[in-house]
Amino acid sequence: MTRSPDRIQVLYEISLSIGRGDGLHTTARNALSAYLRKLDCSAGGVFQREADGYDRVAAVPTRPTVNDGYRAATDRLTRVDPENASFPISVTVEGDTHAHLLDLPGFGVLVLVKNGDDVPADTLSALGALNEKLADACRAERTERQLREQRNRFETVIETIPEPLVDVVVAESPEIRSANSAFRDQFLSNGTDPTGMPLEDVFDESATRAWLADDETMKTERSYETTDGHRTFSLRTTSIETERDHEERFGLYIDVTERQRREQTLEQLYHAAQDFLAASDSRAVCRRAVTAATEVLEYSACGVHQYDRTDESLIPVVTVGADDVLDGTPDPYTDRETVIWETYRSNETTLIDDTVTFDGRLPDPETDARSVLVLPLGDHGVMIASAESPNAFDESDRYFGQLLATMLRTALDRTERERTLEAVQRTTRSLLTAETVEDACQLLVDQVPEAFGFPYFSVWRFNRAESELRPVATSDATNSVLDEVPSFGLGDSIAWEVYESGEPRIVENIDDEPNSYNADSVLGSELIVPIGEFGVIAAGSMLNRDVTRNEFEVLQTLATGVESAIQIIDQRAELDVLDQVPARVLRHNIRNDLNVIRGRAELVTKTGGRECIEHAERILQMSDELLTTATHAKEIRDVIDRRDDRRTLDVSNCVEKAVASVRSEHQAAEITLDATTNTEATVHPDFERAVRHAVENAVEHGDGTQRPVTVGVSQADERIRVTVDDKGPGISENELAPIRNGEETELRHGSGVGLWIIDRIIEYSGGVVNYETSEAGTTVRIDLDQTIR
Amino acid sequence: MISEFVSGTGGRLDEASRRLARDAEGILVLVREDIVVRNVTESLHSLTVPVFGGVFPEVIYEGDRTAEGVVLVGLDRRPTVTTVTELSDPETSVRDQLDSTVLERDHETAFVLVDSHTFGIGAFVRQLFDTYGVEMTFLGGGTGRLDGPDDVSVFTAGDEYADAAVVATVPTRSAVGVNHGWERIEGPFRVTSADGTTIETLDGRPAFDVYTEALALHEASVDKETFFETVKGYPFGISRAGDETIVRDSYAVTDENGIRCFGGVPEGEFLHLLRGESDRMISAAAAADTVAGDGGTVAFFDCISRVLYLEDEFTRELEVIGGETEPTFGALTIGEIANDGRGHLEYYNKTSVVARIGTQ
Repeated sequence: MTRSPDRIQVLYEISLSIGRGDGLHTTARNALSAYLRKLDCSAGGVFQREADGYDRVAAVPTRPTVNDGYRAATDRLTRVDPENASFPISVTVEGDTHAHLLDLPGFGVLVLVKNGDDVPADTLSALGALNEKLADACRAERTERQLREQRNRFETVIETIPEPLVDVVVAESPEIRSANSAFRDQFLSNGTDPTGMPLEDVFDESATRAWLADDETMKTERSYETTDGHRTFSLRTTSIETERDHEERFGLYIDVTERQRREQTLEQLYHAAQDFLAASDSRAVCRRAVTAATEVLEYSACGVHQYDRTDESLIPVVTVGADDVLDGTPDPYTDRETVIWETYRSNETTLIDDTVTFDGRLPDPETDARSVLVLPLGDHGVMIASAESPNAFDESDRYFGQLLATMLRTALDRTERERTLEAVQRTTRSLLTAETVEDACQLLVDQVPEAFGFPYFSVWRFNRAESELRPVATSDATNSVLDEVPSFGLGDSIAWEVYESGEPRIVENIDDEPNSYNADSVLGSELIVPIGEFGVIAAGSMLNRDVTRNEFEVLQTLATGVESAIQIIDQRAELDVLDQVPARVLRHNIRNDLNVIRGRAELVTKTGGRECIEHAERILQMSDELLTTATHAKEIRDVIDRRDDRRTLDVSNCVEKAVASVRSEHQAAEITLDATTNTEATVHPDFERAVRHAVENAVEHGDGTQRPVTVGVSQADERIRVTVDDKGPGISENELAPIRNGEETELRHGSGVGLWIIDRIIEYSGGVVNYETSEAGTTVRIDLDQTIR
Repeated sequence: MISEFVSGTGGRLDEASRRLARDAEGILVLVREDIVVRNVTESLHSLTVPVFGGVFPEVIYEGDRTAEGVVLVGLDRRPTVTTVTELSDPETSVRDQLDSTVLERDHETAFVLVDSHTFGIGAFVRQLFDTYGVEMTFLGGGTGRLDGPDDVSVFTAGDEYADAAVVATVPTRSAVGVNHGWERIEGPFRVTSADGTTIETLDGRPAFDVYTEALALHEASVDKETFFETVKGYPFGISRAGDETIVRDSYAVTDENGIRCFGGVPEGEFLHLLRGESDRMISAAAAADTVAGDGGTVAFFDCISRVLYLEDEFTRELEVIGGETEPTFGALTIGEIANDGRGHLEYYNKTSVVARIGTQ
């Protein structure tokens, strides 16, 4: 039996060996070794409890199963239910080998094997406290191992982050605690271990100062010297909580050099785009876009090739640097099998890294260009950049090239839209000058080929009698390729379908159309648009798929304008006819007939009886009123007919003539004229008539007494005023109201017609007329702009 | 098992070793410290059988301490020889260098020769036991010269090593008896500060001060100059539950009055002051011999300090070993390594180890 003091010493010595080691295994093994050494055991093990049993953590010897006692102990352990285990358990093998399974609370089991004399019971019993200590140490190690694994995972993640990442101890002089390989590669020379290195040794002082900010998180952007030259980084730092007595921060350096370059390029492109988006025509747009390509994107040679339907080719509109790279401006591209045309058709960018190894078809196989970037511009054409060296264009060039091409296409869309809309307006307006619909149609086919790029253009008109669409007008190009432009009957053509349905059609390949009038048509594609009930127009190309949706929409807009113009021309012809009827009736039939009636009536007044004379005088009165009405109608017509006509006249002279005219008809009238100012105004040719009506109204609307009428002309501030002042009862509100309200004037009354004529003539003259009535009389004021020569 | 003593080296050693190699599967070489190791290894490097050995203060052949020379021991079974180097380096993993598969090949006896002047003996022995446990009977001891701590002291056929150990296992059964006969006279003293093999303080005071005070209680005295001579009769003992105290020899005093020992003394251990008495020690050796049993070839590894203490009476100790069979070979070592096949492996001092190799 072990003496008590010795046992205490042994236990104490074992306890000294129990403590945190370098990991769970080492901790368990060191303690186990002490147990075995001090208790003179031959084998042992430390086991960790798991949900489904016990896992060995450490064992002595390394291959413990060769030990019978150990083997017996572990066999026994496998039969223990971890959830309901009860320790200690002792196992004896062959009489002199003793195995003990001891509880490690909260952790697992300690196995001790002793050969020969068994471990004294009181010693085993006294091991309880040590076992608890061992269990504590193992638990702590297990926890630490888990934390270490987490840390290792974390550090692995940090190491795999491609951006430079550094852990810095923030003090007066920040110091690097650790850094990932990206940081070392970026900022340090080969093999330098940054651990413990002052941050100032890596960056300059100002760059270090950013780490001393009070904010928990901080973001700055600045340039640093790196192993790869000068680069710009966005630095984000974040404080991390530690149990140490110093502050630590993680700093992530994100290389924004390329981003900045891209932003600068984008900004430059943006400004360039502002320039060419504001250009007035497509050529100016292309010129400025090519300038941007060479100056901003630094393409050594660049050009824009626009599609020309007439030539059926992609023609160079603007080229820069072609002399250096291409040995001169390239010819129009007509070969539709080349990569240029493929790009135009597919609308997909083509990048040729090396023309020597390129297996597609080049427009010029002998070209000096080694690298070519072909950028589609939608329906407009292509933009081509080229360089003398292979692999001159990278993805960045491709990206910015596509961006520039997109902006160029937008600008060309705009200029083309504006151009075509102007062409539509211009064409439509010009059609209105035609006297007949046939003339309008001819005007249309004369203008469309050049204005809209449709060399093959025709107009068909529906003939009701024959129920067919007959050609009205055809472009020269069409006539040159067709022997005879056909008429289309019921259901025999696409044109008929379009007319009947009112739905326009894009025919991309006439050969493929079952309803085409002529399957062997020389045309390849066609746009057919209805012109209301009038007929259809058709614009074609000799090539298949050579018409675009934009052109389709433009043609529809044009067709709408054409329909309106035709309607106006038709209506105008009808109005002319209508206009002739009253003019002739008023001028000849009525006046002549009334003169005859009037002559006969006067004869009756001279020769007839009293009763007959009264009837004849009534006939004379009515005839005079009808003549006045006819005269007024003619006057109104004359004024309106010349509504757009202007003349510069001496206002005073006009007023004098008007007063003289009234005096000759109203000799008893007292008219005072004050028109000494010599002033001119640009007025309607019948301005004098307006003044005469104003003076005549003043005279005729007097109360029969000879009260004076005063007429004056004055000038001030480049304005001329004509005033007609009478002392009569004034113009009734009933007659003025229609004038003021812009309503149709009652023509039956002379004064009403006069007021209407004054109003129209002064309106057409750009002047203003005012009527001021009071008990003292009426004042008419006509204000005009003075014309100064 | 054939053995042969060769006085000196050179041609005689060449001849003897080749002769032995013809009949043996391997050769254990015990070299007395006054022999130049290089001269030995030059004779052995061309042998076709595994060779291993060590340098000891003295060697034993056929029951007697020999004069200057080499003892060659021919092994009946081919040994697996492993050299463990850089023992003083705490980072050295002994386990990784040992071949644990030999247990599966029924290797039951291990000859262990370790540089006694290395700081890593304690860790080496612990890992040796951790690897092989009680399934292996260990036999051997500390190598080196008493006055030459930096010299090579273990070797194989072609290489010599310092700060190293040679472990040779053979598929041969053997039995071991271990005993020393030293008795406790004072203590326990707690090791409150230690550095490897140096006890710096005991119970919080300089170890040498505590040691001299304890000796004084037994009317003995010691000073730094004659320390080694005095302490050979008063070693330290490390207690172990239910078993004999492990003797720990000391040999020098540091400037800070610490005491240097052969073998590690971990901080926290309890030490006793031991005293030797000739008859008791010789009886203990006889008891070890008894435990080792009968049969086989007798090997005897005894501590050189027992010789120094027993002086002329050491002859009596040699006489009690082996009974009627004189020990075939052995060495006077600087510390002994052995276990009895039951308990923990230890590095002993001042202890007698008797082995019978090839028992049934």
